[in-house]
Amino acid sequence: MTKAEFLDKLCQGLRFQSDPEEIQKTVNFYAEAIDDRIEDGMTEEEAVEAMGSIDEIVAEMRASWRSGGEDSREGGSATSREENKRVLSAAVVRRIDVFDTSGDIDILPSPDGEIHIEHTASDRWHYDISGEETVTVRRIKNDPGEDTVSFDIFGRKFSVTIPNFNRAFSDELRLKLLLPAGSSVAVNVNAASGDVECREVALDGLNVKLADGDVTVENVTAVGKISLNTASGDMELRGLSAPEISVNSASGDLDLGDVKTASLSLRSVSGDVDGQEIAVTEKLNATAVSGDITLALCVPCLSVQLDAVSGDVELQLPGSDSLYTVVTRSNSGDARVSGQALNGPNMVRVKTMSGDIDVNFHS
Amino acid sequence: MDIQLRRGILEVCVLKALTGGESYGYQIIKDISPFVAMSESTLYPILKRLESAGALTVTSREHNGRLRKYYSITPVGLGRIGAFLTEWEEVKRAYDYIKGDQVNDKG
Repeated sequence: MTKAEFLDKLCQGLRFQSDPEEIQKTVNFYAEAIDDRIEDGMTEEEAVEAMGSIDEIVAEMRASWRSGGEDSREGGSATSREENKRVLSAAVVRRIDVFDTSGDIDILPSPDGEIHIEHTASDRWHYDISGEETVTVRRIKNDPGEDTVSFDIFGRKFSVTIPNFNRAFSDELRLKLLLPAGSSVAVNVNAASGDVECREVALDGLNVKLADGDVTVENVTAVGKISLNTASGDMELRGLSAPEISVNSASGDLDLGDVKTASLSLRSVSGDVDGQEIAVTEKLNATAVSGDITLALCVPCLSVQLDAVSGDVELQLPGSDSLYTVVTRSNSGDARVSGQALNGPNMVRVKTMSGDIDVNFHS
Repeated sequence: MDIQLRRGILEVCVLKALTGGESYGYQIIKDISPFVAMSESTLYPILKRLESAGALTVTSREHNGRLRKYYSITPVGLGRIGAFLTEWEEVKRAYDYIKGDQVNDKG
């Protein structure tokens, strides 16, 4: 390999380092080392070979950057975590995609006019951040590396190479996306496990998919759709405004308050659906497979469909019953509608297999 | 040997290589090589750590038309060497005892 090829490959291998200055310093160090050996009489090829494998160098740099480089204790801590920060321009970034993360994610306001992405790293994993208009944050496994442990017992040398899986570690990586006022970013989260909190921001759109974790969204507006999904976790939404909102928990409760939208879809397979001060104008669908539905709307909605399988449904509708046409069906339970609601323009359908239905009007 | 322990020892070896005056990467490796085999991939993180800890300083100097980094030991670095030697006095005594010819015969 030539010196140029080696340095180029090294540069590629170090791309995980978000500080380009650190990458440059490292490449310069190795360029110097190669030059010194050539000056000493080696050929270019011999000098490059003396550097060792790029993989080893990259692994050493990972370990070195991870422990912060500020560690003045002998050796540093095996479980040290590093805080990584990236600042991105709000004028450029349109979209942030977060993949395969594991650990809590916070989406919060930025302290200044820029977008900040901050995250911790662990011994086994770190986050890779790439892209400009569409920024991708991805969890990447660190090279496990090896330790070579040498013994010298009564003059006999032993050497054992162990892969580094034995270190104590925690794989929880916290991620923070800090968005400035006036930015318009679509955030897309596809996380393994961890809670997601999104507060006090204005987004282009929000799409969250969790295998396991709670979602809390508070005082958030979106120009586009908000879609929240968790296989296992509770959803809490307070002060939300978006043209379309979809909330889905396979196992967990949905708790909504002060939500403004044109189209709202709520689904819980095993959990309750609870909403107060819900302002939906066009379409509201709520499904609870094994749980209750309790909703209080504050504006009339053109089309409401509520389905409970084994749970009660309680619905509060604003205005007089003459605004609505209410159709109810309960296979084994009571259905009560406190009014006529026979031919109003706003359609309400409520169904439950085994539970009671209660529809009330309030002016 | 514990990896942290080994790294610590290598750090002091690098400092020792600077006690003769300022030196540069390849020269440090050559000076240490009779005692310890060290590659650039091990040396570079050690140099970074020692610089962060204030045990050495780095200067860029021109050499044969290119820039080369020269490392110099500081009083902090010298203190580290002193601390190492003091700590390891005890280790050496234990080593000599364990290795010693005298079998502990209580018979």
